[in-house]
Amino acid sequence: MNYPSVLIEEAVNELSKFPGVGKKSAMRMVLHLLKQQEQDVINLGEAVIKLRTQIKYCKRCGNVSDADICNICNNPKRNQKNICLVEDLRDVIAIENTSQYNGTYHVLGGLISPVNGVGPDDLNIASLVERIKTEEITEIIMALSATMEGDTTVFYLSKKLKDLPVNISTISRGIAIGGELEYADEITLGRSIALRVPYAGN
Amino acid sequence: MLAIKTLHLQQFKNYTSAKINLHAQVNCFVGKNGAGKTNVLDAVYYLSFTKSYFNPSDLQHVLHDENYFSITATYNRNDLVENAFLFFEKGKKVLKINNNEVKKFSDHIGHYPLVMITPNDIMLLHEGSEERRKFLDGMIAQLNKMYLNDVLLYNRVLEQRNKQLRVFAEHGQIDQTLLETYNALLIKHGNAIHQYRKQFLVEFVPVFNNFYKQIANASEEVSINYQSDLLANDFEQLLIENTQRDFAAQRTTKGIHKDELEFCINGYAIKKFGSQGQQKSFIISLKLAQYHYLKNRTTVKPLLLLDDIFEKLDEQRLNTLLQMIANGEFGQILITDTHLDRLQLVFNTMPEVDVKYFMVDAGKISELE
Repeated sequence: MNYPSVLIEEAVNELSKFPGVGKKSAMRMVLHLLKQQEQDVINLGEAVIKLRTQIKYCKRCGNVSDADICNICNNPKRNQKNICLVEDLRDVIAIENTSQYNGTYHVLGGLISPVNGVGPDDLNIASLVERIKTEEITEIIMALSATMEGDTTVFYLSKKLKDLPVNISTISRGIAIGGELEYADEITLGRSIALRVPYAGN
Repeated sequence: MLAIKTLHLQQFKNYTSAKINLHAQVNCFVGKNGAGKTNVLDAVYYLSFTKSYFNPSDLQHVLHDENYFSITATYNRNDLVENAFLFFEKGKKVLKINNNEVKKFSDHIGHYPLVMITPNDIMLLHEGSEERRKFLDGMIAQLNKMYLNDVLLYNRVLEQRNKQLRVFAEHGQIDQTLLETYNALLIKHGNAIHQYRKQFLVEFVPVFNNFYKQIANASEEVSINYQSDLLANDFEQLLIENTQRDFAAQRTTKGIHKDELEFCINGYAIKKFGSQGQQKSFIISLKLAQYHYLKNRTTVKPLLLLDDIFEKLDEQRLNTLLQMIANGEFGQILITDTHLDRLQLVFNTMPEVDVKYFMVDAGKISELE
């Protein structure tokens, strides 16, 4: 694509680095920005700069935080002996929205995937082991994706942690609540049948 | 029953637009070489498997100088009409059944069961073991989604493990815990695949032998031997014993990805010791056994596509095959051939079989009255 201005070209190139955004969408965004009030766009730019330069990660769990220790880790009402292990910030938000969990988190920062150049050393595993040892953690809930990479990471960690006095659990997998059985994919349904659970009467 | 009623090709291979009404029994496509007969069969194959039988590049199936192709068909499934629509444009392939988009193509495999026999199949005997594993996987996966899932996951784990072995080599050392992790996942899916394959062959091989006897009308003994690292060894033990070897080779040297099907005649490899005729009989029998296996496990008779089969078989083998058609062992059949008289001569002797003829010429299909 040829652009009438170097400024536009630069902006398009930067915006098209977003996941799922191509050159055409980036061009639409640029046109949108040019139509806005100058101050609005400056605010946007400053917000982005501040976001990247001032962001902090919780020294304990790796979650995004405005202080050294995040709100969740700092909350005395939460069970500080439980850790819910997640891949990234989005999963923290998702689980928080369920209001079903009252412990702390630990953000891994990814999943083991050599093909993508991610090994165990690239993840926050050392800090997790350290926490389990020093904080007398009693249970760790592995809430990772039900993908091959998620399985790999869960399996690897369970081996790493097996000599530590901590209970390891994983979130259950199966039929979506409110979902009709016939719409479940065969793999999920097959697994749900194979790994059925005793009826607890809810 | 399962039968295609109408088929509409748009900008597919050498067809600008071609629309035909098919017969529920036998459909013959007659034309010169290069007229586009096989493309019709491949289009039908596309609707069953979402890809070509011959060429993995979707792009190369678009008519020259155009940018998309589409295949539309109406199927009769036990007297219910079903619409299938497949559309391809660079970077985008869409399949719709009754106007509902199929999200995962792997879910669709097996929806329109189909067996295709082409002169190309002989490569099953001559190419490397990967072709035979693909053939085996294709047969089992058409009916077993769990198997397909295990194969996909096994391949993913294998890819990750091999990559990790290269990382170990760079660092000059092995992270034992990580290797054990990949071993465990490989074992889980590998053992499942191994069991499925063993079990499948126990049922499949006798059916195959039976077809061979009918087609070849001969006394030679044929066999299919399943060879696998896992037959005599525990997979975990095998991986542990070969750790250093894998580390040096920077890839996984043992596992079900090394499985092989050995095709034999009188105890010897057919690709070396079988005559042309025996090899042809072997391939046809394999495919018919596949058909039979599918038929017994689905509620409808699969579609049978015979590409240039008349060129391939001598009269006696052909008669045996046609006798099976006359006996109604197959559902809808699509046949291609270069000679109309030859087909008519054969089918005129079978009044119980309904046949429709189509003339194919330079991307045009016309029905013969």
